[in-house]
Amino acid sequence: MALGELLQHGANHGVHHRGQVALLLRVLGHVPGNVDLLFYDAERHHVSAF
Amino acid sequence: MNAIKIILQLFEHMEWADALVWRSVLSNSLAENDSTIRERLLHIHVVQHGFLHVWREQALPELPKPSDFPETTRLAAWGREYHQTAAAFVAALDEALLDGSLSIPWADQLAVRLARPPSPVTLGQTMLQVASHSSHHRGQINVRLRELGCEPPLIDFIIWLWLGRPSADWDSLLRGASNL
Repeated sequence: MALGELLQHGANHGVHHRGQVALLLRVLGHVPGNVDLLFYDAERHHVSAF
Repeated sequence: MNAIKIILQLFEHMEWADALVWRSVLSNSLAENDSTIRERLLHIHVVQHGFLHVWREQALPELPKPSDFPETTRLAAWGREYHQTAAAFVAALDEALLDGSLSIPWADQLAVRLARPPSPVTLGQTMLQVASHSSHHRGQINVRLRELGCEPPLIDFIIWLWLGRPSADWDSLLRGASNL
């Protein structure tokens, strides 16, 4: 197994379990944040001119 | 490892994992009729199909409603249809295409949620988004399956690698479904 594949697994594993935590937060009456990749990209590239 | 190989593996894994989750759902009537699970399966496939339309520069069709899939297997078949078309799209990709800027038809809705216009995105970023989004919601479905007393499937990326990158087995899953 290549190191790159292990890194892919690490990223994917985190997404899977954050999804589970988000669902359980909602069950408990909380609003989970939006952690979509595109929301992250938007946050990272945000410039104040917008 | 180049970007094309990463995308290809993520998409092959996504299809395999989607099919495994569907198999668990369809093997238990409680799960098959659970609204939390059905809503998330519909959401996964709506987002997959939506981005595929954008990638192929096709106009977005009207968003399907849960009532468009009176039989759960129809929704599974619609998911399979996505993966078949997406696999052909991925097979024709090259590195330069991945960096191409993409116009998102629902950018106005995103702008409301972000409270500002969304940043430009590339084809590659949206393809990673689809794989990641599907994984996020499959995780939620697995939680719900466990709540209903079902054993959720092992769908980790590393499990898929250890198993030798198996293909999704839709044929045995959807054999006999009315719309196939």
